[in-house]
Amino acid sequence: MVEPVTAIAAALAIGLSAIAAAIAEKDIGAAAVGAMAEKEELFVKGLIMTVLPETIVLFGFVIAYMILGA
Amino acid sequence: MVYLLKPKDMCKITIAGPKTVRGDTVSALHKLGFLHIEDYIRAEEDAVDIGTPAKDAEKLSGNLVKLRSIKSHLKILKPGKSNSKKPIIKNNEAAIETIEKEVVSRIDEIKDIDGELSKLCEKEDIAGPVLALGLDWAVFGSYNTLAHFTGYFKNSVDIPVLKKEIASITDKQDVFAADYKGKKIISVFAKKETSDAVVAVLLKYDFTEINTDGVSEFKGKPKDALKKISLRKQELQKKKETLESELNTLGKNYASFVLDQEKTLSRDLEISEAPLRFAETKNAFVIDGWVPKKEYEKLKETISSASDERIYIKKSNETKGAPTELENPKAVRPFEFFMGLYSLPKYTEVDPTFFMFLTFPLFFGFMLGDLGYGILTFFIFWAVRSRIDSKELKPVLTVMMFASFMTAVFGYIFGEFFGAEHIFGYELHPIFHRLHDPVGLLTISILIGVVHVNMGLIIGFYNELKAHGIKAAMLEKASWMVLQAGGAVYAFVNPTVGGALLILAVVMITLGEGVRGLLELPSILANILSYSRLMAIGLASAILALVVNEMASMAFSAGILGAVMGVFILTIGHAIAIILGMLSPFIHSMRLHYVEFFMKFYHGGGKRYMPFGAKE
Repeated sequence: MVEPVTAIAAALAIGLSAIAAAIAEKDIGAAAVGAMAEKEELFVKGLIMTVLPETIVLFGFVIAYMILGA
Repeated sequence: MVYLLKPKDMCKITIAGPKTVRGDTVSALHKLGFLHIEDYIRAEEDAVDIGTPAKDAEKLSGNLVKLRSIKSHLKILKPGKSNSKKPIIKNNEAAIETIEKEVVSRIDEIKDIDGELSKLCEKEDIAGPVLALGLDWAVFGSYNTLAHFTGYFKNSVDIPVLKKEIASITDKQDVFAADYKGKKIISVFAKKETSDAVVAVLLKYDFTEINTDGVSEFKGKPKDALKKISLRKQELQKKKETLESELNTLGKNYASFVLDQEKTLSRDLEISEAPLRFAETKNAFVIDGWVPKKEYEKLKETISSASDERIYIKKSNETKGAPTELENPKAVRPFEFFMGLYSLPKYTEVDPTFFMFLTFPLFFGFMLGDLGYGILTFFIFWAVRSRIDSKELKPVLTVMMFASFMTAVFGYIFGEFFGAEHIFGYELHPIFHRLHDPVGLLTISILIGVVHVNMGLIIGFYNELKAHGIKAAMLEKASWMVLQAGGAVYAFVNPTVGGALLILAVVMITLGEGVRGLLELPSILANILSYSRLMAIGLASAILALVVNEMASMAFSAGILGAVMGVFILTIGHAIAIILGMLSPFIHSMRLHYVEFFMKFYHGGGKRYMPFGAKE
């Protein structure tokens, strides 16, 4: 069983990074939808730009995994 | 390389000949429908000019415009059924003229009627209140000393109070009030100097004025006028209806003719205007273009014979700027949809459609992974696909059928059937139990990522090798593989050897991609870790199904009412789980391809092969 503090640390690592990614994606997503309304071909470009910040969660995930695994 | 992985082979051709055979050549080319014409763009110093359209182009486009206006007036969308007929006149051009006259005269008449109707309605709007007030037209003239206001109140008003208020402003006044169509209407006459004060009082009660300009010139009694108006309105309405039904009949009768002619005319116009894309001197023309390699001989023969051997054709092996026509086996073709969504590969690039075909359903199935969902959605997509006739949707549905099939396969591997581990009592024996071994699932996901990303790098290596040679390919693509190998060796085998490999990789990347490459170093890790979503979304969908089942089984243990609830929960719950389970694996599988995979090799920006004269 992991220590409660460790569990909280892992939860914070992934939770906070997910919030950060969400904030970043919010703005990009809104802009991408706006652009797509004007020009439908931009769908994939918009999608790619929108999902870029997901990397942040991945790093959070790795840290959480390392905290729990240690 | 296998034909599967690259666009259709093209060769560049140049066609030249005297202007006298231009018409025949262009018609022959149009009929063949192979040639992708490269538009001639005139540079300033060029002696050769852009071609002039054929003489009939202007007339054709004029007729086409007429025809399209007829089409839109008659609201023709598809060819009429049995009673569709061609006008008796043999000459098509004259026929278009005749139809246009028939249509336009009726449209104009309808417009006139609409104009008169709206005027009548305006008059009616005034005549009604005037009649209700018991006044005559003449009182609404203009006076030297009197001002008058006629209108209605939006809210209920106490007329005696209002009358008193106005009387308190001036004694030279008169107020007429009546009920009309559920509203209080009023006409106030007062001394001109007091009009501001009167208006202020009226506005206090939410007064809306009716325009009475010109009313004093109306003839006859208001009562007769109203009757006349309604009679005239009826008459006009009837006339309009007749005209509209006539137009309707015309539309039905001429639908086939109009659509046919539109097709012929636009084809003829395309032929006549084609020279705008050629280079021309006074007596000769030159066409540059691309033909699929295997059609070249046929094209050469056809236009030679069409022009009495007076055409010169040159074939070259150039590939720069060649248009892209994806060429894939039938099963893979639906996946070209993903290329259309993104951007076509350049002619010289690898066409990744086949890889999409291999891995898209795989990732999708790996995420959703449920035998029941897979089978159910497979049949749903199959049923929808066989009932629709849309060229855009069909490939998507085919792709989804592949995806559903893989979902069922992984459902078997994971031993899940609508979230349960048994099919109506028959125990499933999972080959891999993902709910019990999330860490194992994560490991598999990451391994898939390693394979997929490196597959991308290998394709990138090939592309780079073809475009810029072995050095660029090594430095820009192989370097990333060295980096991964270095990381793996460093962590699991020997830190010294691994470290050396890592340094080598960093040097190669810096040489290949510069400082930007250095900044991108962590991206390879992010790319691979990104595949952990395969696990995350998979677990989420499995647990969602599990939760639905548990909620339902709780309900089932609570008597008959509970059983009804249970069935309800199962149906709605699994419906939601399926919809979510389709949406999110689709998006994420797509994302893994577009972002993680394509970024390793894909440039895109290819020109679509659009042969001259080919049917849509």
